[in-house]
Amino acid sequence: MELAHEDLMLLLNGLYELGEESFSVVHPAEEIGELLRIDLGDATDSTVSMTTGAVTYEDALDEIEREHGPTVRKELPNEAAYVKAVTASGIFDIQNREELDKFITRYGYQDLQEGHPPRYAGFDTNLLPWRMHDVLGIDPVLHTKPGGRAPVNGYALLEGVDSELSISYRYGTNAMPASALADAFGPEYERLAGQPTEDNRETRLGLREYRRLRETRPHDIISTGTGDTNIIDGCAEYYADKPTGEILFSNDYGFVDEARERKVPAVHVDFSIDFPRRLTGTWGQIATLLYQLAVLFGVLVLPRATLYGVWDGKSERNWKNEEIDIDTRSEKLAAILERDQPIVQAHALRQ
Amino acid sequence: MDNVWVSSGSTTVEAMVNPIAAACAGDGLDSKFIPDTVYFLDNPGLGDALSDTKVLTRTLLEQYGVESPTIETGHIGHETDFQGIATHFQDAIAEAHDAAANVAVDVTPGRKFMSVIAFNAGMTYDVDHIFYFYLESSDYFSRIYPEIPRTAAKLYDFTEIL
Repeated sequence: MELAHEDLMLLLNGLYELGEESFSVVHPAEEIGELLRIDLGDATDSTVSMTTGAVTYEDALDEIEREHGPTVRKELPNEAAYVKAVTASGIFDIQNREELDKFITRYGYQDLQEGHPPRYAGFDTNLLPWRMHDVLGIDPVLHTKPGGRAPVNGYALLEGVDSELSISYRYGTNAMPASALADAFGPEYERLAGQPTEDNRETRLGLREYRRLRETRPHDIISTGTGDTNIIDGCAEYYADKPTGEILFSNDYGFVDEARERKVPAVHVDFSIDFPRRLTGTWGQIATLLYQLAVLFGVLVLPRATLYGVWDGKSERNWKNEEIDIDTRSEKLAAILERDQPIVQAHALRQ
Repeated sequence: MDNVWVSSGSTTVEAMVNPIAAACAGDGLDSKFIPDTVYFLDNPGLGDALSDTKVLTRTLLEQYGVESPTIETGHIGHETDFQGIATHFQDAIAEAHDAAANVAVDVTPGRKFMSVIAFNAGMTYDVDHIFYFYLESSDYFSRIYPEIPRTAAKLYDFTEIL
């Protein structure tokens, strides 16, 4: 059964209804095993225990490389991507929050009614997969304060970033045969035939975010080439004669330095190297965590269900709707999801 | 007519449907309560909310195995027609009793006076359940039951509490 990211609450409620209030999220490779453990308690304050931290995870990747070679290792996210995916869910913060908040306060929250020009945020390629609109707390739809001031008023969508993210369309050209992955990680990986490799899955998340912002938020599309210099040149030129201002975010110090040299306000987003063992979050954040990790790892094993972030036949529509495939290993869970999905769909139809 | 649900009307679809969904799932109850007959109360102020609610309630009950749910709508000319509201509850409960059905009154949706009248009717005419659907936060007001974290909502039965 395919479930959209926004409907993953059905899965959490289904597990809860069956008494699975505390469960492991496991990667099928025996070198990795349990990634984390979720305790579904208070809706706004549930516990996520990171059984496998980033450093332990890196050791597991080393072991996988020793046993199966470097190409197999590259099919899994590196330890930095693992941390970023957890950060993207919102249960764990970016490291330089204070600096970012100051930067956003300085340049954002324009008073449009007083005639201040709007300010648009632009993201470098390396940040797009990680839901920065929400993690940074800048999205005009999600984070506008009562009284009307938004952190930023829209997004500067950079064509060079779009091109860099579009490499993920090289499906199958550099992916390993699914049977070889299944030998290394477990039979679940048979279903990944023809799907993008890990780094391509990461950029695919970024591409989806780019398009989602383009479809649903105020934005400018800015003509730029690829590479830091071309992207920043394009931005500087586009806004030179416009009242609207822009601020840029990147996970690359070179990009930030180059932007500042061109007098474009820019700031570095620091991710931590590892996370604490115990985190807390809302059920919604936990749903996002499962979505991000399922796409990044390809497969996650939960009690009663195996989640496929990618699977043979995953379509453009599936990507657009942020869908994952849920292979229910329990008839009871399948029955609950099949019962609830039409109710949610009927409700969505009337909105 | 085995299990009857008597509710009022609201401009919020979710306030009318979610208590039924929680009862069907047995949330907070010793056993599930899946109605096959549902009474709502319309008034001119509700707009399209009630027709949407009826469609959604039908879908919900069908998903819980009720093949052809009966959904009745009472009408009052103005929302402060207190006698009309009382009659709506009294008649529906009496009909359920005549059919030897289990009957539940839902005091969740509608104006406060509708809840008061519903509660009074439920106590006076000895219904099996008087339900109230409690939501932890207004963040979930526009969400349908399966999308609300299970620990953020609870169905209470006042016949057990009071």
